[in-house]
Amino acid sequence: MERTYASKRSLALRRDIVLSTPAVTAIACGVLAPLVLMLLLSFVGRDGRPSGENYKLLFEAFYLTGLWTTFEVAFLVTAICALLGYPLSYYLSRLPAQFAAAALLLVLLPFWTSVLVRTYAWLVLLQRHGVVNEALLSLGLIESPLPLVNNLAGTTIGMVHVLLPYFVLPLYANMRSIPDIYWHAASTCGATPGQAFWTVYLPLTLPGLFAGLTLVFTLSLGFYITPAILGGGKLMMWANYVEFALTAYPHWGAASAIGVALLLVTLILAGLLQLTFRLSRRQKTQASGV
Amino acid sequence: MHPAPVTAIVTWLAFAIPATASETITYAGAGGTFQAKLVEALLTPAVKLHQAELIQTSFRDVLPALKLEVQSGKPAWDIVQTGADSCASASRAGLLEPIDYKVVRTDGLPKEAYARDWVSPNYYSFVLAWRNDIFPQGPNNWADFFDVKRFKGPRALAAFPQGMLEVALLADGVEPANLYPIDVDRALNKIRTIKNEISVWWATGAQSAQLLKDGEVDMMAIWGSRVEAAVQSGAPVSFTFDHSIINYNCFAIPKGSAHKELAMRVIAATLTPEIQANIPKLLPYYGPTNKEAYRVGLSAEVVEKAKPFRDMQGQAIPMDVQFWAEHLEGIVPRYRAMIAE
Amino acid sequence: MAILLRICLTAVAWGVLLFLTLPSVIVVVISFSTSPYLEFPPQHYGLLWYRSFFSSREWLTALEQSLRVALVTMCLATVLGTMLARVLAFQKSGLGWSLLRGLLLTPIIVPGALIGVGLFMLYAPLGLVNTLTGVAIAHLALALPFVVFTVAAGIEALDPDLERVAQTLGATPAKAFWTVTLPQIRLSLLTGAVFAFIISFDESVVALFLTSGASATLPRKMFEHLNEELDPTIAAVAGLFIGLTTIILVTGGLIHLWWSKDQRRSARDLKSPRRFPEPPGSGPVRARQEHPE
Repeated sequence: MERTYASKRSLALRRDIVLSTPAVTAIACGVLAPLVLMLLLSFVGRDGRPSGENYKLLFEAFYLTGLWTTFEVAFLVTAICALLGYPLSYYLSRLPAQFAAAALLLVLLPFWTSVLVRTYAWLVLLQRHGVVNEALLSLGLIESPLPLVNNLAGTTIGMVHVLLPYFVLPLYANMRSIPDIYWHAASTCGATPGQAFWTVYLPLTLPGLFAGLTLVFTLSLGFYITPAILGGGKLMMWANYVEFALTAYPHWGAASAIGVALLLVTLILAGLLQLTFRLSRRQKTQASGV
Repeated sequence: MHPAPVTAIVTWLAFAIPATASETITYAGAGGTFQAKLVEALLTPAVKLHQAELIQTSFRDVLPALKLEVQSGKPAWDIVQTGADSCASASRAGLLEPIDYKVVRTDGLPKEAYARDWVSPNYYSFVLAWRNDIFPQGPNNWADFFDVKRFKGPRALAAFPQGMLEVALLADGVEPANLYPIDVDRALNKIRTIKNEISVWWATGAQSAQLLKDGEVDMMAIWGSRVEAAVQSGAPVSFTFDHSIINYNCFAIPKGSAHKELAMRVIAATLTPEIQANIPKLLPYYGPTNKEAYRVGLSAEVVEKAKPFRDMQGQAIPMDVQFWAEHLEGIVPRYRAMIAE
Repeated sequence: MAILLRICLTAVAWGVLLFLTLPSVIVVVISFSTSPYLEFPPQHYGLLWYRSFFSSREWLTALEQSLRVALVTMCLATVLGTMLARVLAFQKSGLGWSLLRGLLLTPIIVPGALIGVGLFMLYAPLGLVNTLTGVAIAHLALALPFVVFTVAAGIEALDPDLERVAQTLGATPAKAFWTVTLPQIRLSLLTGAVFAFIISFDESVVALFLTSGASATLPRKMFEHLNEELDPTIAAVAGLFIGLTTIILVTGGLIHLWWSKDQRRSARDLKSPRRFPEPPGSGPVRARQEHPE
């Protein structure tokens, strides 16, 4: 039998499809199917018939407060991650390769530890008679224990701890790829270190910075465990509301609608993230042409 | 080594090796020392009688967790233990299996201690507890709990409304006889007056005891058994039975449980006088529902320890289980909204 | 002035690194305390709570569940993921490939709570809640992207012509992949497998909705006991998690270092154009170095 180029191509394609089907099916079943089900159920009302009543729930005061809280916390967490993460990434990117690798390990170790375990660690640290308060009391810095947990403060600290690596890693990659020579070039053009930073370095790190910010913000919106444990019942975020709605109403449509709303916002932000990656790739090809 | 057979073997091993051999009963309670003691007193002897194996688990919020279990189609629980108010609500929502009263005998039980879908092995009370190292004179009643000027300090209330609304109304001056039907607005407003001092809204009994033990809060409304555990462990905690709210505990079987028949037999065993007699022994701040339990020879020491609880029964205010069965669903969002304000 | 700035920067950077690592360290230290309260620094050290964990039927059942699910996830994710990675490697453009890559991103981007709730609603009528199968499918979906990206990166670092050369020598595409590419991507396979194991073992949110009671995984059980008044056995559980992660990461890193040295050496030899004896004058030492292993 003569193997034509076309038949070889289709053979290869068939083989590709066979190889990729199991993995694609797994993801379809594990992630896509439940989301599609949620979308469908969100349009099913209390009586089992199609309706948009579930989405009306989102406008009740209870849920609007939740929406506000979620965005508030996400903004706060993202801002703190940026403030703490930018200097750290810069420092790491200026380290010689071996030391940077070792320091990165320190960033990766918490990254790969379970969220639950890390949140528990903060619970232990921030309690009224926990490690932090006891230390501050024994040092005489405070007179009575600070309320560091079961509120916004504790939740924010816990979330920053979990999300900081997500901010540092893309930014570090970006910073690492900026050649040192740009600093020299800027100073030979007469710029002070401060000017060099603002006009040359910072703009070059914008893709990584934006990627980190968007990633952290998107992930913050969907957080569940940390607010559940460190929020003390007072601080509920969107994902906690989805769980609440699952059992508070006789039908699953309500929880589905709230979930779909969260999903929509997440997907839009993820789309923004994709845009930044494309921007950074374009910037890299432009830069390499210099 | 070719990965496909390795994967197949590992997968088969993981799925095929059964976890346990004999029939199991999964018991879901509220966790902590209370669960440990209740299980030791009632469940372990009952399960041993039927040569089964007991698996324990606990939940944070019983009604949502139960609802999830039943909705899953394959509830992991066979026996759930909670307050009678929650059992009544769950029964109303169709989440429980009807109790087979041919198997479960109710001799010696008062008629409030059982219903179509649940049965009660004991009763308990909500009391006012406080750290006596902070308040040596102590708050003495619910009005004191709500008096943030005279008794300054962080407090805790439950994240669920049952018992909390009653306590608020009592502090506001309502007579116990006029407590039900509960004036929800009045109760919520009363709680709002001290909301800034509430540092934690506890979700589980175990958490409530931990808060008091750790000194995370200075006073709270808490279940009698939990506070007893805290006192036993040496924490500087005191409490009062004054105007305590008394309620029945309950055992129920989630709808769709895989071990329904065995669960019924185990529950029946927990109501027999011999096993009920363990309650005054291990849980002195609880009362066994089966009066025959006291006829089983108990030592003088045990009777002495159980005395304060038996005495206060007269003054304690019984929780209206039916009220909560009917109104819980409507009140919970309002209570939660008040917390989130 | 510049020195001051440098000192500040170093201080801030190390402060943040400390912030990232200290909580785990403290929890591990506390787990070795023998007091029934969570105190730091511990007054007495011992293995009390670890012993309590290993003698508790409840905790061991949860550990068993977690290990089962993680092992299944690791094996399935590595095999399925490598297959998909082979397809995806070297494909740059095209709508189909972009969609596929987008699909791979969904388990990472979509909030875990939504996956958990959605799967709960999907599994309920199918009877898959509280089963090992149900959780395994979810964890497989969560781990696949990591495995695929890792292995694909490993494949793309190789010379694509090698497989074709093997095929011209008579091997089928499968055999070519098996004998040529696979040994060279051992590193990526190992990394991917480790990622898959850790992701499944650590996974807390989806397990919260899909498992309970006897089918609970270790994180699920930990969540149940979080506010317990019983004893700090949970600190030992946390210590175990942190210890396990650290050991796996460090071991993986060491193997990575060892294997990559090996790989770099063989890659250098393979690509070296000088396979013939040096022209006269370069010395015997040079010739010895050029001889492939």
